[in-house]
Amino acid sequence: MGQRRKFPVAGLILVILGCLMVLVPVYWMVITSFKAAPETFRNPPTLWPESFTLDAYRKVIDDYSFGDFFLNSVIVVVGSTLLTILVATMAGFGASRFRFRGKGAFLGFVLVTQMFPSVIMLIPYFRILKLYGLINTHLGLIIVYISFQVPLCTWLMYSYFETIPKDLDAAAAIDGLNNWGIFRKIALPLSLPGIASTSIYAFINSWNEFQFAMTLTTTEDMKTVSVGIGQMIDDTMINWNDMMAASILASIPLILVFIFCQNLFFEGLTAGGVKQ
Amino acid sequence: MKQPALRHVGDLHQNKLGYLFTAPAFLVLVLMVVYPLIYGIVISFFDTNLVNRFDFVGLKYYKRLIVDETFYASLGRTAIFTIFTVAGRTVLAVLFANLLVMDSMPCKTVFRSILVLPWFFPDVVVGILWRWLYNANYGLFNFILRTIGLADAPIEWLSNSKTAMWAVIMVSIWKGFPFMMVMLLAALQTISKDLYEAAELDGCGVFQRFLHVTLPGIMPVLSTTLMLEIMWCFKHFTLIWNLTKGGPVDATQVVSIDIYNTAFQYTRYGESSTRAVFVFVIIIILTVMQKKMKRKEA
Amino acid sequence: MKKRLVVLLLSVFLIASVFAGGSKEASAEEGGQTVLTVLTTAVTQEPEGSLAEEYIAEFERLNPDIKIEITGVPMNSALQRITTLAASGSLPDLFVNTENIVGQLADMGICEDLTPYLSEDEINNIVDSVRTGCTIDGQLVMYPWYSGPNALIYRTDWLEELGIEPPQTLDEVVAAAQKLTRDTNGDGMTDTYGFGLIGTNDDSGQTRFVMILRSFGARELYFEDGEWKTEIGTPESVAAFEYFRDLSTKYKVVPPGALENSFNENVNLMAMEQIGMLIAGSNSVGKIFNANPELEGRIGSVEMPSAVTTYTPSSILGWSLNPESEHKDAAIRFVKFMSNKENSLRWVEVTGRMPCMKDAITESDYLSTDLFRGFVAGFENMVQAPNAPFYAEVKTELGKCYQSLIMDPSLDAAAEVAKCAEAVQRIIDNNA
Repeated sequence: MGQRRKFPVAGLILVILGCLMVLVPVYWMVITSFKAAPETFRNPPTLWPESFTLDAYRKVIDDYSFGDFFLNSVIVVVGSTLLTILVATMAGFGASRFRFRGKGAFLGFVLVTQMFPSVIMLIPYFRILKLYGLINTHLGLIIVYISFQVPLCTWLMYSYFETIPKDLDAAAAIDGLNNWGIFRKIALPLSLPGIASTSIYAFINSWNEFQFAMTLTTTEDMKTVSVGIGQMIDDTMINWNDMMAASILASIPLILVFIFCQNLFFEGLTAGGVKQ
Repeated sequence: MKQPALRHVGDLHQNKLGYLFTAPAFLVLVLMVVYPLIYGIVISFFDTNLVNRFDFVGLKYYKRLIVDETFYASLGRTAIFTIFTVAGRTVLAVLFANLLVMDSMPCKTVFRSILVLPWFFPDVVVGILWRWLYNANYGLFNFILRTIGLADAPIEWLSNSKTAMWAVIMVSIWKGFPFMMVMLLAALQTISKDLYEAAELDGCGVFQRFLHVTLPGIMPVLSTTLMLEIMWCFKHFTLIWNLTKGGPVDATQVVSIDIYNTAFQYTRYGESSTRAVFVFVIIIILTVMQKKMKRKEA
Repeated sequence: MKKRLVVLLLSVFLIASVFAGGSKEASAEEGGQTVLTVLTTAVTQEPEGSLAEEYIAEFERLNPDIKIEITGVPMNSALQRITTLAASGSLPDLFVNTENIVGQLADMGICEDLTPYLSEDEINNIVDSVRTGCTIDGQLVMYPWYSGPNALIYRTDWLEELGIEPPQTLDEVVAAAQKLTRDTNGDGMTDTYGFGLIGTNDDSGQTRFVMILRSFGARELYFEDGEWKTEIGTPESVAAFEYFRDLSTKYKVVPPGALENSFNENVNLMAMEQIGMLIAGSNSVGKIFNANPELEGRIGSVEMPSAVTTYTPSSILGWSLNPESEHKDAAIRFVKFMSNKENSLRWVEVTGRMPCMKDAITESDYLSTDLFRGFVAGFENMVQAPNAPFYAEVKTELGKCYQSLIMDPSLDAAAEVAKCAEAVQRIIDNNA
């Protein structure tokens, strides 16, 4: 492989600056979540919690019943992400690898469904779910999220498949693989980083989706984590420590998924024989 | 590059397979999105509160809208928000993705994990959090500036029409660049290192390597994410709503806030839909234009 | 192998979600019990939430034939949620209603007239100003639960220290605010401000501005001779806008960032001991104490000060009954229980939200404290805000106008107000 050159110092400084930019607000979230309520309302603010307490976390779990919200979120988000990726990978592969009549129209249509400002769609979405009898069900939310994520994921997968040279398919076809085989044995493994990053995208978006989850669940036992957090915003006062604790708890699954999967999408492929 | 794929398969076969692979996606969208879309368009011709009043008014709201200066003003603000947000996100994403993909970068995993953090928090929380950080009295930023002596009077970022939009765009960039960065990181993995080595042997500098090897390699992904970003930013609502609610006066009043207010504060759903349809058409035009430009380049 | 695993996982999730969903179908009857569906904002707030849940449990114990199914919704998305439910024919039996949205909800025809369900005594027991606020076109469209009228709250200890009497007029407010704006630690920077101005263009800001506007004798919207009219543009209205602006830009008695300080920020500032006076509802006092327990006993209230008159808009949170409900009697029983005397008396002590029934008002010792003096005075004089469905839009125009004036004090107030008057008139015409 290429010789190891020294990393440019300027680049390192830029990355560190970027990290600082990200970390200042995040630091504020984290220390706020460890403060007692009155301390969060102090001015000038304290840069380090005077009394380090886990009260906010205890409250979020016990009083706000985030455990139930978590379970709902996990069912809905894992379900919708898996299905979305299956559907989108197939559609992306199909659009990238086959010439069929209406392909352009299909890709255009997929995109058009995402162009209408979503606020206006809240009410019709509710009506359509009611028509299917899926209000207040996990399946209802799963289907809604699939319909949000599929268009963008299809496009992302389509563009990843486009970056994989098509000569490879032809070579594989000569080797006697059929189309399904090409999809499974060549395209799928090669686009693994793309699939992984697209899934992360779908997962995070569904996990943090608030407006539709808020509107489409009308009973307490169906609420998701993001709805739970959204409900903490009160017109008269926000309990900062509770809200930050809830947000941090809510982001832990995302951070874990990301850390565990990053090797998959970043080191899955290195330069090798398959690429030119 | 434009050679037909799988030359051994006939066109008929291609049709069938194409439909087979895309059918699930197509089905989901037809079942779920078509009705809301049509509903949204249809009610733009009605004076309605969606419950007991459905008065057909034809093109009345459209006629009212096209002479409404405030609507054009909010379209203009939406354009500014979109352009600067997308530009900022792209610059940061391309920069960090390229730095983080280098083999010689120390602590890659750590930096990568830090830089993606903003992506993990819900928009609602990010908006509220930054509103707090920006606060003129007890916000962290003003506190820091005061402590290190950079400002003697509080800076009112969100109360000033000259700074409010930029403050909002900053947050939007902060929140949104990690998505693009991750997408580009994944795309960069597919570029063969041999290409870089070849370019280096040819005497290309860092910048030229970026221009001739990196950029073409990530172009399909970059152009897709750009297109998506533009769409999202154009209809973006949550962050701006939680930061400023469109204020002060109307400094950050973008179209999506206009739509929301008309629908859910004033309960004038018909008129609100008119605006939504307008935005819908604009985004379609933008996308078609982008497609045309891309085709010309190719 | 991997493929099989994925397929397996997928089917497990699908099946799981179908079953998880299947059991949640709302049914009206459950083992002979009436299930009453209720949409409320109370359960998403504290301390209201725990107490409301306690009341509901008690109600279910007393009425074993009724089961209450509660759904919580935050106040700021209540209108959106109720509209969505109504537009899809999924409205619960009972839903929350407030003075802010009652005009729009009544316009949708989803609020049953409650008069036939109540005895004359029961109707007469509702405080008069509240009853007016719950009535639209002669129909009692909501049953009141509690009220949180606005008044001027102030730091009793600071006023005492400076020898200031609680202000009765808007001029006295300025005078007091100027004295309260101080540099307490001598570092050359102001640390406490006299008046917490809510300059955001949202309902809290607009409502407080309207209180000042009406004090000056100008009405933003009123119904006369069969049509809606406005007095924006009159010299009185210009004076009100100028007063509001001057608090911030001329007298400088308002903390920085006036236009970004919503009610939320001002409650924080009060808790941080940075402002001396604030126009606030009785319930927010509890929130201030919650954030800063040291302030207990150091806050008092007076009725909204006047320029030529005084104005307290009605503030009511109540219940509306879905006309298509199949359990109207159970619903009525429930709403009556929630605001019966005993429950109301406890409610005000825990939440600071005032009872709406005469029997509770007269018996509450809690309401005769210093803290509540202003709220009680305002409560009795509450005036129903205009219930035009487009009222929210008119208020937004007012908000834009005061924000422009504060942002650029060099603007000619009369000209800006004239522009605002035009905009308001256009809204009226559009809806005629």
